[in-house]
Amino acid sequence: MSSVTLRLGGRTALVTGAGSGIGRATAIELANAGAAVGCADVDQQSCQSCAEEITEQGGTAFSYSLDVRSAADFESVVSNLLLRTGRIDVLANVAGAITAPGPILSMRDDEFDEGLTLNLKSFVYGCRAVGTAMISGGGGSIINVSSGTVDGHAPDLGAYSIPKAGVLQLTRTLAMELGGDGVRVNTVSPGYISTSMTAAHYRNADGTVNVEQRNTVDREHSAEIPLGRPGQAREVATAVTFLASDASSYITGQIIRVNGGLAMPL
Amino acid sequence: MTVKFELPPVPEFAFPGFADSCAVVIGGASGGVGSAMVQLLLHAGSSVIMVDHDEERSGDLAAALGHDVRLLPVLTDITTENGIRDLESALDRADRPVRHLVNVVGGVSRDDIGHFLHLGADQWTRALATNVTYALRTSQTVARRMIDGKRASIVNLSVTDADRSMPWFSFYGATRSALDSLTRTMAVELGPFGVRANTVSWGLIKSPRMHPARTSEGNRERDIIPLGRRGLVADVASAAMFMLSDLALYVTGQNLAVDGGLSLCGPHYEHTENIPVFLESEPARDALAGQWDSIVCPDWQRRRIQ
Repeated sequence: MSSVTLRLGGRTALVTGAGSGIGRATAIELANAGAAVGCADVDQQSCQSCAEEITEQGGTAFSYSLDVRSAADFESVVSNLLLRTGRIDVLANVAGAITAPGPILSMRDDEFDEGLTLNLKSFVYGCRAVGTAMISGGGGSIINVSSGTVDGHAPDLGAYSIPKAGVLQLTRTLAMELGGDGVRVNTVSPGYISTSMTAAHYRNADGTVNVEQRNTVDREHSAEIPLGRPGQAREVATAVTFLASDASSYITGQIIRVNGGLAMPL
Repeated sequence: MTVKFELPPVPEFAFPGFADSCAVVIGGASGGVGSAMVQLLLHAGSSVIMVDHDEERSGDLAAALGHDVRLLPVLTDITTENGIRDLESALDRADRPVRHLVNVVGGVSRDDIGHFLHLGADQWTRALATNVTYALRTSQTVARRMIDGKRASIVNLSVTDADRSMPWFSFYGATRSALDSLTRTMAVELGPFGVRANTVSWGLIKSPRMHPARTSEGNRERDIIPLGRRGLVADVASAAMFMLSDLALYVTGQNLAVDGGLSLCGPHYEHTENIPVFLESEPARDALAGQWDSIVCPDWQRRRIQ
């Protein structure tokens, strides 16, 4: 299901969270479609290996150590990527993390702040850092990855789900503000996807995968999903790549839910 | 009014997942989104059963595509039971498994644009037939052949305003909304068989059937649409291809708006007559204004004559 035919040749993309999971699959999918990709992650080793995987396949990629909680970090990554390729056409804001699980009533201020910074402010930093370059380049496409938690109940995940709901509003606001400059802004909202984030539900204490537990958790989740299975990171990546490409050139301010039918709100 | 057939331009995307299968396009010879779908499907390697009632235009499309042997035109009125039988017999003759269906037929004719207080029962029947009943019948007919557990995908085209309000287009909006609901439930009920079902809904599109603007230069559209232009037929077709294709393998039950961001904005009709601002054709506006006057002041004309 490669999106090699979506024709992103000559374009540059920046992907956050490119070291693992959906971010990594997105970086690879965008590279398959022909884009030069800046692979950014807080874990330098992992984004390095993502960039290497792309270049080994004949693509173009650069690795960046990026802490998305820092606006200054974003600015310097973007200016370096501009130096190398002269343009930025696509930003995929993927990095995010579930922190401070627990009920709101017992959440400390600093825990909530950390969730807000990681999962919402970071998205604003990214959009701001690329916006000017996209406008002067004649347009671009920003894809903000939100979460299936925004469509339903997500008790004990407030530090994650509340900022992720904010991502939807960020997308709509930016779509209006940048539409006239040819910059499209959309959200991809993944459902239950098999990644290291969901793997937290079935790890042994030593970090190894508890296969039996994984199958049980997957089965429980799958029972609620019309397509009857968890999704794969690559299935999210192909939706991001569609939104990055000109195949979606009249789509802005929208949400594509890659969730196997788990939620289908109007 | 007959519009000369022109093949709509489409980009050279080759969407994955069509190489060894057959797709069904209901309403392919319009010269609009359906004809763009036919082209993109052939380009992706699919064979195509194209259902349309217009013999001349179907012939024009086939000729414009160099009489591609993978294209099977079926001339029939799909809103009738005969049409469904014709579709079934075409499916029987398909030499590849049928994996994709897109229902393009729909819309409202100029005579059926009207105030809620004026629209009649026959117009409701026509709106149902044109916008929802045929699509549920084709979806049933094709889906029954898709449930072998292999991947398959259905896309129903709709209109973004269907989940809001559509003054002067109430029957159109309501019947499209019914189709949207059917599509969501199809996604749940067909999910266990590996069949996905999604909606692609459009906003203001430049198509052969759009209500022509006598004096418009598109300024109004630049003002009200965030991306500053009407959409192209290819924009809608590309989104529908995404939903049909293996790029959307984990996407089902969703509704993707292809509207340049218009649905982010407030209502685009003017109080109190509620005539949509995008309806730029002066005769069409005049006709609606006349209806409005007759509702507000039923004996206005009689009194004027006296």
